[in-house]
Amino acid sequence: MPLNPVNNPYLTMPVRIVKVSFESEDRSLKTLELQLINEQDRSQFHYLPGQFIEFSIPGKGESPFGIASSPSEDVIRVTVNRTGYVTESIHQLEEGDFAGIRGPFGNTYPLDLMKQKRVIIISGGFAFTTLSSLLDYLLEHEEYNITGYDLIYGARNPGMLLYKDKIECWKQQSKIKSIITIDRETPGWTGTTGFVPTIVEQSDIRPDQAIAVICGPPIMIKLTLPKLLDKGFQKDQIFTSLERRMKCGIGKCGRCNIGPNYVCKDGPVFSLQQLEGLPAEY
Amino acid sequence: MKLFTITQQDWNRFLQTISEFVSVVAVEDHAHPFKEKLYPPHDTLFFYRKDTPKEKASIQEKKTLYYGIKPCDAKTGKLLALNFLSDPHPDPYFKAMTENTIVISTACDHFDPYCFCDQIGDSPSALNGADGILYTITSGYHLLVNHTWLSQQLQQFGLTPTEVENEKSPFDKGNVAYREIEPLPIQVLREKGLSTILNTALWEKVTATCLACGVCTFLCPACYCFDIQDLSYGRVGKRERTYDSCMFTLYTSEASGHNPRPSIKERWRQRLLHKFTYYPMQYNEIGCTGCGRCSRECPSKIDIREVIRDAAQSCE
Repeated sequence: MPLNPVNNPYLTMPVRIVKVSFESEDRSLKTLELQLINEQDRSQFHYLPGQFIEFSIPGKGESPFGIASSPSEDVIRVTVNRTGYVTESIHQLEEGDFAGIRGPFGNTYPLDLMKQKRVIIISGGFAFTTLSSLLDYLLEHEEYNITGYDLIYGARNPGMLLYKDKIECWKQQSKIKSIITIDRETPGWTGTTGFVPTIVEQSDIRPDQAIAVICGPPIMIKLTLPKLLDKGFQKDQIFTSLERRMKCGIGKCGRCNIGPNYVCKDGPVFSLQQLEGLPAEY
Repeated sequence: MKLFTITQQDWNRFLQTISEFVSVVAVEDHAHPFKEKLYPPHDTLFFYRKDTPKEKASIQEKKTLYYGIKPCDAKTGKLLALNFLSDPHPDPYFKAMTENTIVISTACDHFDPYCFCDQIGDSPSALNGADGILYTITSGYHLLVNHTWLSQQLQQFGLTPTEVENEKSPFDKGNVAYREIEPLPIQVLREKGLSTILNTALWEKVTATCLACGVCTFLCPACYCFDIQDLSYGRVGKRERTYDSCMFTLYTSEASGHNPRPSIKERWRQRLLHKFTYYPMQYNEIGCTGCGRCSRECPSKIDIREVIRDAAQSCE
């Protein structure tokens, strides 16, 4: 009888919480670092940027989170927005507590397509998690020969920007051209201000030999896509990672479908071309 | 496949004989779908303790033979398996349940006003993936069997089978319902269903009287969507899956408040296209058995056959 997580995809793998920190000034976002407790799970848990896990607390339930760490790290990092019953419970976890995870689930960013191309990362709000994993991963793996990066990342205000220390380090890399923007002018902010779609429009990003990845709130994606198309990007050059309410994570429970595709199994990463002609249910 | 002929009396005796090895259950309630036996409305995934990271799965191991199922309902196993047993994560609970279940249906001798299996390419005498089917004849039954253990048992009981190639082989199917009726245009939805996405007038008409109660999905032999919930009693508890329905707002509404299917229009479109467009795209089968429960039990008397015709017409 299948009794372990390897052949029973609903059972969780126990993890220890090794680090918890507030990620945003308003304390709505927390970053947790997790370590798998069982040696067997550790040797079998392999993921790539773009994939997600189901985070489980017995008695509270499960929620899906994109993996923010890079596969080379020895912890699994997630950033959790406190917004409902399960996430409230996750925010109460402390270092040393245990919880459970399932996964990794879903597909990855189109890493092979990115070889020898320019990678353009456009993000808004706390959707930046898996994109941070992507950037880390590509920087670590020189065999992808990425010709350069454009990073356009926006948040409501400076306090809501994720991974500020890491972004500071990326800014020092000559290969990365970054624009970090906040919605409105704020005392103490000397950087760019403006909404992501406008910044994308004003930027000099170009479609030649490039792949664009865009993640953020649905409204940001909706308004940014036309700007990219205006700049000459083709629909098979634009990728997005979708979010949907999910339960099982393995394409069985039904709710996350977009047409015949399940966001949890066939996604969460889709090209604009794949989404064309399907109901805009995202 | 093996064809047996058995008297009513012998059939009852046979069931008695095999009840030594399997529990034998007569299915008499046809208002509820047979899927509830293969995929219970509440199914325990595992038991947990809050203070230790050990989970104990709960997998079905009891063997059961069900008989008296209608052929449309027998199809439930075949349709649910397409979802539950698909790679890369076959569902161990459903797998154990189907492996431990023997399904024997009975060919139907009449149609009620809501039946439409014969309008979607099935028939009231189709095997539909069951392990056996009974055809009523004057002296008892013809029993067509597609299950090794079951045929062995019937032969040990003293019956001699004839070998038939498939369920369509020419043999007397006994008292089976038949009528002349126009098929439903499901092929149109299969090929062009996606073109109805932007047709708001169509979906407004369809949903005008829908209460979004979800009874159509709970009773549907092909609907499988579920929710996962924890039930806690102090330190112990269990994680369960329970039927969910695409007709409910909460089914897709996200923690942020965003709902990708904000109104009943999108949800009805999802239900219809999932059955007649997406399921064929994924598995080359429609997610419908023609049992008619969704229309028979609908409090607003929405007839899915009319919706299929309306949607198909709007594709042309």
